Amino acid sequence: MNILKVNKLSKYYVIHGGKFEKFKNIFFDVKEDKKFYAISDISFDLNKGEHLGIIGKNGSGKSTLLKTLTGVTHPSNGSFDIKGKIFSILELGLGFNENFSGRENIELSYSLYGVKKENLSDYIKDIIYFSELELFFDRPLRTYSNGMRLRLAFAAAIFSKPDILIIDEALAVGDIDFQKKCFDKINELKKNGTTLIYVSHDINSVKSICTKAILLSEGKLIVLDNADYVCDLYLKKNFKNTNLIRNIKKNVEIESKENVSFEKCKIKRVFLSYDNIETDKFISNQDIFINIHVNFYQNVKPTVGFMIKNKFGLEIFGINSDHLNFDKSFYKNDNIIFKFKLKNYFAPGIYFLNCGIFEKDKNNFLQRNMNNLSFEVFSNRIVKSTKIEGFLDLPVELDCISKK
Amino acid sequence: MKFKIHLNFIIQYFLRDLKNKYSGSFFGLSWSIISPLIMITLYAVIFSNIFTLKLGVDDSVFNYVNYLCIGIIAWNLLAEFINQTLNIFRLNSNLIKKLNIFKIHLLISSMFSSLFNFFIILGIFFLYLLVTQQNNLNFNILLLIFVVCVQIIFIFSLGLILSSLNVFLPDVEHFFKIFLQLWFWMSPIVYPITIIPEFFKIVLSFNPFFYFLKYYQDIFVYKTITGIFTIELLIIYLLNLIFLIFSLFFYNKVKKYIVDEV
Repeated sequence: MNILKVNKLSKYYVIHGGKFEKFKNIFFDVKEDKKFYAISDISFDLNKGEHLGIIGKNGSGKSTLLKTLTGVTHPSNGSFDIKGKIFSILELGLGFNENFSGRENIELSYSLYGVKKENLSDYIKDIIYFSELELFFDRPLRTYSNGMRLRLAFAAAIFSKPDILIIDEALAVGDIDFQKKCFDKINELKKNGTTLIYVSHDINSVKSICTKAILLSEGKLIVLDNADYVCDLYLKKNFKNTNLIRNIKKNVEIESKENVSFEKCKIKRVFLSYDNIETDKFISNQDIFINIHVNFYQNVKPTVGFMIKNKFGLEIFGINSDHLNFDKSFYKNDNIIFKFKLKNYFAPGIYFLNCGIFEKDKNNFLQRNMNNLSFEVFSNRIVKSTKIEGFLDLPVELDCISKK
Repeated sequence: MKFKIHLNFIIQYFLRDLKNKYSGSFFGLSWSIISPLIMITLYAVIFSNIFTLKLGVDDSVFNYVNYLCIGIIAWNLLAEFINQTLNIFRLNSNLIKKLNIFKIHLLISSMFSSLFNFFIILGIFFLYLLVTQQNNLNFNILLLIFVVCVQIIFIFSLGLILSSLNVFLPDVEHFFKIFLQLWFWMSPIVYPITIIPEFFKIVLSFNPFFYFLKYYQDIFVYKTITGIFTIELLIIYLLNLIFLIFSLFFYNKVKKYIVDEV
């Protein structure tokens, strides 16, 4: 069932001329060369329960698209059709009035949303609990920090039980704990069949939350496909000139989207260590140990591998046990830790570890473990004033030979 | 059902706005009546003593104060609403850019708060009439309901047009702030219509506020109308309804573009 149908949606702004000209344009047609299309000819359908990510560079029309779908701005051409209730968090946009308290604002937005007065107190209890705003909840909105606004807006959005939830870049403001809480809650909503439209520059979160994604560029829809594919395409095309938010997610439980059967084996835990001590901070040129703890439930001949990506999602290095001529079978109830040792030649920065386990010769995934472990590499160089260029910090020696 | 939700929202918004406007200030609600009271006292002192004005009927100071009061009360409803709404979309840009809210609700809520002040002052005026034992009003007083209603229609339509226009033409606001002063003095609020020269009366006939004012003064000062509903009032109603329809039509055309410009 299509919950959202977007049909050739366009929105242009008249960018030449003063305000009077704009006023004139309401009543007369605008010349084509004076129009600036923020989005043009966008069509897509969204089924109930699907999760759509929208990615694109700054200025590609993401926010305009969301604003149009929310009904804040009106499309110039085209149409869209929404079945059900829609709730959106646009640029932390909850709040009717800065002078009203959080409670009053919630009561107002819920009253417009059609929530009955009798049920309001239950909702408000949940919202206070989730947003952790106890003291500030009855203080005017103008006294709130950005983080508090986010918490209030997010809580209001979640407990309104919308059919479609739109989140625009909102989670970037919260701290890591609250982000985790939000992601947990988003997963819960997803399970309950809420349709989600999510916009973020944080590609990893788009990959983990969304099933489908749209790539926008200069207001045009470039591709609509499954999220992983679209995100990879986006990163390959322009990872260099985008502003990505340094967003480190730690231990956020992310369900893998593949149909995984845990019949044969299960990755119990993945962790990094150095000198048998578990850590996620490493110094260049030390060793990194990647430990993958697997329980086998059946007899399997596995291939175990990992992939290290940088914060832009770019694949830096990946290897699996086949490359290392590893050829061993395991049996039922084996409890194995695969321990990869690698020399740390990474440039300083934050990296994400993905690992997976295949069945050898059959090439089917038994389990994948995506992006849920991050680690940081620090430089051991004495001169730290200049950054090392590129992705690697290889051991280099410098010699001078005078030639006669 | 839909209507009920919207009405409920407007009332809630208005009540909270009212609460927030006066909470924390020492005199609270009384601020909203202090300014018209001062205006009335000022004009009463200046005009009834310094100049001796002739109302044409009972020339007592009491009657002049009544004349002044009702004129200023009626004017205040118009001036306050227009002043509040001229820039309402830009002041609330934060709100209308982020939420899909009916922008016209802002004006309606504003109208509620103007009316709230209006009825408080009117109540005080009635109290004053009772205390000074001038309660020789006949049942023409019922006509007041019709006059207030038609004035509401008029100022709401005017506010709607001006506030939407002001989004695109910021000069409207500056112009109207001055024009309101001019309009005040061009209407026979502090001076009686009898002192106006003949040729100026033609100008006055184009002043829409004059027609409401005339009814207010007829009810409270001259007490000349007989019957609840006159043909003239019917025509005023019709004209104002046409004005309302026009303003809604205009707003409907413009509203899509407001959010892009504030």
